[in-house]
Amino acid sequence: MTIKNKNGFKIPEGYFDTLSNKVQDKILSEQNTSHSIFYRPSYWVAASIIAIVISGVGYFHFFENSKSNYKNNNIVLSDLEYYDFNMDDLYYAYNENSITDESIEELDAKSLEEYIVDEVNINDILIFEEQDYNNNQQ
Amino acid sequence: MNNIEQDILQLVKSPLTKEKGFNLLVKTYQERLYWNIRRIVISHDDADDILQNTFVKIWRAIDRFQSNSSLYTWLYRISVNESLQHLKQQKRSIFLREEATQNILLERLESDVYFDGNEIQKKLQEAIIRLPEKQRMVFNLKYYDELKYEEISEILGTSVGALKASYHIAIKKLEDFLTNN
Repeated sequence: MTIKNKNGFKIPEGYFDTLSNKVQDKILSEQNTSHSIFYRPSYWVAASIIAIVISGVGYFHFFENSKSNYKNNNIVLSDLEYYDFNMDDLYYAYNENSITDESIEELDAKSLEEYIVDEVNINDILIFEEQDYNNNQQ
Repeated sequence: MNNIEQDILQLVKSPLTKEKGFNLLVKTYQERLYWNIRRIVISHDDADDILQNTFVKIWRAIDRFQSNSSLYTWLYRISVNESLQHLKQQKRSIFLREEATQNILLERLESDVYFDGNEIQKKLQEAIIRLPEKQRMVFNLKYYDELKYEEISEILGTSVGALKASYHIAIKKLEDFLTNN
């Protein structure tokens, strides 16, 4: 059985009655996961590698570009600061082998930018901005 | 801010009543957020996933929300961004054009077992899907959710003037599409 919306869209019957419980289950499950990852050494390994990559991109941008003409396909450091990094997203990508030691060696500014655009969730930035705004207001 | 928003924000401030306040939030806004997401991603299964993720993000951040904007525009902002992020991931490559996303959504419309609109309803949805992303967002929020331009401006981060222009262009394009098809 389904409930029909006037635009032709339907939903399974009772969908909204059970949604709250499904959300609670998901929150509990994610809380258990997120508490444990900080105690894993691999989290800090991934975080360190990412910090090195960011430093490398920063070095490349400021020092190498000052020696040669600026090219449009180089990432701008202020873009990185704007996007901010969600460490959980990067950690999961590392653990799922979408980031490997080899790929880090081959990483250039363009592919890093593509990764940020594809994988980093804008909501995490908005929530960060909201918190930042609130802190400034206090 | 209405009374129910005030009740929710009061409850979520305290760790002892946060869960109660959050459950009230879910019950109050689940249908509006669901339909907003569903109109963006078309498929029920995708909308279900995105709605749950949206609420998880809200749970993480709600106790830091301090009424700088109205609660429901903040909730809409998170659900819209979560939906757009989903579409971006579905497109697989940032080099693919917007048409790629539109084609994916048209396939979803055809294959979703939870859509059985008549020919006119299907044609209208097809016309909406074929709008550029920004115009589609504005049209959905204005026409279906009946939000004010000022509220849509908070959600999409676009000026009211630009939103009015986008909405009128969207209406014109829909009329043209439906007339010619």
